[in-house]
Formats: sequence, C-alpha cells, structure tokens
Amino acid sequence: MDLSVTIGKTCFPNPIMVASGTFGYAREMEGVLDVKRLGAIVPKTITLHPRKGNLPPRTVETSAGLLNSIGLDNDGIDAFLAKHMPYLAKIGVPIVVSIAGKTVAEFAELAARLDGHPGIAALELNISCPNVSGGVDFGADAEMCRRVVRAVRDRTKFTIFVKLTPNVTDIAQIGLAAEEGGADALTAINTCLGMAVDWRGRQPRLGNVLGGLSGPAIKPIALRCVYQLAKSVNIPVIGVGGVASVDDCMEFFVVGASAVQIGTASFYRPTAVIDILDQLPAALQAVGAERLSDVVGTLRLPQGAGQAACGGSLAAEPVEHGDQTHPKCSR
Amino acid sequence: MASSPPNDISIKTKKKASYVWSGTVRITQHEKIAKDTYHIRLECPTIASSAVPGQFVMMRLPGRESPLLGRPLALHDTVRHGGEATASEIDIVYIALGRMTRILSNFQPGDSIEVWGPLGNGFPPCQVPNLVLVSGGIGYTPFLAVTKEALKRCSYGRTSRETRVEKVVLCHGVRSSEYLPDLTPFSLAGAEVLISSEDGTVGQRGLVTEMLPEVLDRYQPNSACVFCCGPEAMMRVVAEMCALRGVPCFVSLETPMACGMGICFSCVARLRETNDANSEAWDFHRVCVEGPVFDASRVLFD
Ligand SMILES: Cc1cc2nc3c(=O)[nH]c(=O)nc-3n(C[C@H](O)[C@H](O)[C@H](O)COP(=O)(O)OP(=O)(O)OC[C@H]3O[C@@H](n4cnc5c(N)ncnc54)[C@H](O)[C@@H]3O)c2cc1C
Ligand SMILES: Cc1cc2nc3c(=O)[nH]c(=O)nc-3n(C[C@H](O)[C@H](O)[C@H](O)COP(=O)(O)O)c2cc1C
Ligand code: FES
Repeated sequence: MDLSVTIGKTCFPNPIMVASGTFGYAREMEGVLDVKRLGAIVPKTITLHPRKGNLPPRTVETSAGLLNSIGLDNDGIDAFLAKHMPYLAKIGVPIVVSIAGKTVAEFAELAARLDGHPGIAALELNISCPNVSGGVDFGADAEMCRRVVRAVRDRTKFTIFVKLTPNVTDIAQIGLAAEEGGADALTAINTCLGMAVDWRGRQPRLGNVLGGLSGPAIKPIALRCVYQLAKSVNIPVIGVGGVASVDDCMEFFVVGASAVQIGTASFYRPTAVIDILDQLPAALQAVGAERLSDVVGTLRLPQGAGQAACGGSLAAEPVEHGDQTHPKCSR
Repeated sequence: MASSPPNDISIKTKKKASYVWSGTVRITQHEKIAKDTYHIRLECPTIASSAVPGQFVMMRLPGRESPLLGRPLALHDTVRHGGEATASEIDIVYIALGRMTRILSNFQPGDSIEVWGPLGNGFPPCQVPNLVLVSGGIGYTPFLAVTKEALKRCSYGRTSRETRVEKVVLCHGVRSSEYLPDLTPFSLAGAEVLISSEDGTVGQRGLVTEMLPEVLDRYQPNSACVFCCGPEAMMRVVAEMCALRGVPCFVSLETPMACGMGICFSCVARLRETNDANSEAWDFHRVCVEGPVFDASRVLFD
C-alpha cells in the first residue's frame, strides 16, 4: 500500500515520524531498530549556541505520562552540522531539522545557516518549548508567530513545519498565523506545561520546577488540538502527543492529521515506531482505505455537534489538504 | 597534571551503537533473598549471550500505562545451562522500594515482562593484579559477574575480554544483617568478602568506607584498581580515597533514567571534560550510553 505523504515540497515515504527530543540524533537507535524505515527523523532541537540544559532531575513519571524539563540540552548548530548531520544524511530518510531561537533574528540565522545543506528535507520551528526561559514565547502570540515564520520563510527554500504548543487559549489562531507566515505544515503538539510535587519534602520533583507533560496522558489534548487546527487551516497538520499504537495513529488521521510523530512511546517500547508502521497497512485496509488520504479528516460529527466545545463555525467544514494526495514519490 | 596510571583504561563513547534486543520475556525463577530483596531470572538468550559485567537492562511491566516507563537494573549474572555454547538467561537482583519494583515482586515464574538491553558500557576488563570492589546496599549486584570474569570463572559478551586480575576483594556495606543476601557465590568464585553493617549486626560495625583504607593500603597504587557501586555519597568518599592514594577508581552511577538508550537526555551527570582533577570545565553527559561506569576522576559529584 502507498503510504507516502507529500508535505510542502517534501515527499515522506510514510506518515510515521519520530518526534524531536525523543529519538536523540537517531544514531543512538540504530542498534535498536531499522532507522531506514522511518517516515522522517526529527532530531533533537538545535540552537545557535551550545546549551547545557536544565539541572536534574530532568524527568519524572506521572500517571500514564512523563514530565520533562530537559531544557534544550544540545551542542549548538556547528556541532550538529559537524557531528550529527553527516550520519543523518546518509540514512536515506527525510531529515527534519528542529530549530529554536530566542529571537526572530536567531531563528532567521539558524534557517539561513541550514538552507541548502545537503541531506536536510525540512525544518521544524520549535516555537513551543516550555523549558526555556529568556526567549520570546513565539508559540503563544499570533503576531510573533507570524513574524518568526515569515523571517524563516524568507531565508530558506526548505519545507517548514511549525511546532505548536497546546498551552494557549486558541491554538487555531496561532496555527492560522503560522500559515500566513508561510508554514507548509503544523506539528501539534509539543508538551503540556505541568508540575510534580513531593509534598512531604515540600519540593518540586523536577530540577527546573515546571516541565512538559507527554505520553498517553496528553493524547486527548493532542487530538483536540489537531482537530481544531485541521478545521481551520489549509496546510497539513502532523499529529503528536501520546501516540503509542496503530489505533492512536488512526485516531489522529481521522481527526485530520496527515502524518504523526511518535515521542515518549519510544522510551518505553523501543520498537514502537516500527511496530506501528508494520501494522498500519492492515489497519487502513480493514476500513477499506486504499491510501492514507482516504481516512484523513474523515471524522463524522453528529448533526449539530461540536460548536459549543470548539466555539467555531456551525457544521464542521470538510477538511481539505491540497498536498497529501500526491502520487507516490520516487525515492 | 592529569595522572595517567599504567592501567589507565579510558572509556570512550561508543561510535556505533551496539545491538539492543527488546521484547517480552519469561520469568523462570523469582525468589526473595533478603529483606525487600529479590532475585529474578529471565529467559533472554540474545541479551544473555552479549551482556558484559556492569551493563544493565531496562525492565517494564507489560500491558499497563502506570508505571509507564522501564526501570534500569544491573546485570547480576548470566546463566549457561549444561551443553549450551552461550548463556541463555540473565539474573537480576533488585530491591522492592517503589511503584514498579513492588509490583514486580509479586510476579511468578512463567509470567512475562518486557526487557531491552544490554545497555551501557560496563566495567572495563581490569589490567592489574588486585581488584577491589566496593559496594553499598543493592550496589553489589553487578559485582558477581565482575568477580567471575576477573578470576576467569566465566566469560561474558560476544568476544572474550582479557583481565590480569589475581585477587578480588569485595567490601560490602549494608544497613543491617537482614539486608544481607547470601554472598557465597562471591567466595565460591574466589573473592575475599569483607562485610560491614551500620548497626553492627553483621561484619564490622560502621560504613564500608571505614574499612576501605586498610584494604587499599595493602597494595601498591599501580597494582590495584577499585570498582565502586552504591549510594552517591559513598561513591564520592571512595573516589576521594582512591584519588589520594593514586589508585584508579571506576564508579557505576545511578541517575534516574527514562529510556536507557540515549534518546531522552534525562539521565545526565556532570563530567569533567578532561581527566584533570583541577579542571573546572564540565558538561552534562548521558549516563545510560556513556556510562553507567565512569572513571571517578571525571565525575563531579553533587
Ligand atoms: C544503571 C542502573 C542500574 C541499576 N541497577 C539496579 C539493580 O541491580 N538493583 C536495584 O534494585 N536497583 C537498581 N537500580 C535502581 C533502580 O533502577 C531503581 O531502584 C528503580 O528504578 C526503582 O523503581 P520503582 O518504580 O520501584 O521506584 P519509584 O517508584 O520510581 O521510586 C521510588 C523511590 O526511589 C527513588 N529512586 C528511583 N530511581 C532511583 C535511582 N535510580 N536511584 C536512587 N533512587 C531512585 C525515587 O526517587 C523514589 O523515592 C539501578 C539504576 C541504574 C541507573
Ligand atoms: C524528554 C523529551 C524531550 C523533548 N525534547 C523536545 C525538543 O527538543 N524539541 C521539540 O520540539 N520537542 C521536544 N519534545 C516534545 C516531543 O517532541 C513531543 O512533542 C511531545 O513529547 C508529545 O509527544 P509524545 O506524547 O508522543 O511524547 C520532547 C519531549 C520529551 C518527552
Ligand atoms: S535514560 Fe534516556 S538518555 Fe539516558
């Protein structure tokens, strides 16, 4: 079955991607699974300058979830290009480089430095990391979001994903701003801001006090965000948040995701991504779908349902994605 | 100046990730061996035939989302049944203290559990005649395989690892006698076993670090090497004692882990960028892939 999806100018061999910050730089996983089979690899977010990251403890397990405050620990763009990009480029899977800046200028510089670099398929703008203070919260302000995406759009020919935070009142508004800025796709969601407390010790459990929640616990929030975005924008949406099984993937496709990213599940089931990929064709066939796009955005709403919770237009508009029915790409 | 003893075995980050097996395995044995302490045997030939002493596995309770993550547990030993060319089972010893391990302690032989490994670097094969093992509490678990390999009772991993050890001393500290498992496997393998307990109910009264100087003073600094695993406060003291005497020391760190494979960046420890004990430059390093075993002179204890 043809599982390929085209997003922006990039054709992905299948819709099962690994999420930024949850798959290292891919090399770590080459002894665990066949990384060549992935739909895309999004390495850990890089910044202009090296960052040591936050103090430990950096992760705490919560009910069906994981709270993290890694703090964008990375060695900066130079080390990334020298140490990791040569390996990534050789894998033969589309590489989506995730970048984060503290200012519009930093995002623009990162994009300019990466533009045209061999082996990169797309950029993902991480405007949504809850663990970094000192930067502008681009993901929480529509105007800032539009400006940063536009600045990157002006510096790169690569396909642009913009990764959104769920920690906003109206995610669709931010998504629309990203689209206006020139985004080719939206990735939703990053982690949900949270906290864990050791009340007896009167202490936060994370070194950084606050952190981002991920894993099965946030899947309902992620589904809601993807649903709201897919109804509002005309660019593909990539669903992330608590995906751990093929059924989870199908849920995201049905509410309007054109692809999914898998994060925390890789931590606790190392081969989760490959298992899901193996099961996807059968899951699609079982509902009579011949290609992925046959199921994308096919949620059926009961008559008159959905307005109150979404505050949106009356009946749900049919979801349209201009890009995803492209013929199988040749790779 | 960076001291470089003749047996300096610097541990480098692996260039190519080694094979990690993951899957559901059967528990073949499970018994309580001391207060809150359990010995569990798992049928996993791929891990058993490739793991080396000091490596660990992640274990996870199957089919549930709470607890969600796997837990790191050190390789205690591997089991090779009569006639088998390579080991087919692994032994783990754990202390039931929290969410995952308390539930695990109720699992029966025949039950299944999810496992991935082998993970981490393991202890380097020791190239000096005297190997001193220092452990506190559950930290002794990796040392049985270390002892058997050092004294050539058993080989581990895919390729045999040469050591030049003639004598192994295990210095093990417990809170009290009820936490002391049967250590005869160490004596049977040829190790001298010295025990201390905080309450004096077994062995020498006091902390294991109190009996260490006497043991270290038996040897020329360049004829001995120390491996250490236990509470961080203990490892810091042992590392200082070794540094004072110029005895190389390797510690196995226990930072909380979420994946064990190097992809989450949660298990970091502060490491000096060089072996120079006076150097201030440090960075966070992932214990699960670059460790858990580190040259103690590189570790900045908190
Ligand atoms: C490389 C490595 C090897 C290990 N080998 C062994 C082993 O062979 N046998 C063994 O019994 N344990 C070992 N541990 C420790 C073991 O992983 C923890 O005890 C286990 O994760 C506890 O899980 P839990 O769900 O039962 O406890 P949780 O409910 O997760 O925690 C209970 C309490 O234990 C504390 N805790 C959790 N993890 C750790 C940790 N890593 N260090 C100190 N305190 C912790 C928590 O803060 C909490 O107070 C090892 C750890 C590492 C990193
Ligand atoms: C430990 C950890 C580190 C993460 N690091 C990043 C990161 O560097 N950049 C980023 O865009 N998202 C990062 N994320 C967010 C994930 O990519 C993903 O959006 C989120 O975890 C939700 O998906 P999941 O529930 O499948 O994990 C991180 C998540 C975790 C758990
Ligand atoms: S435990 Fe995930 S990187 Fe070490």
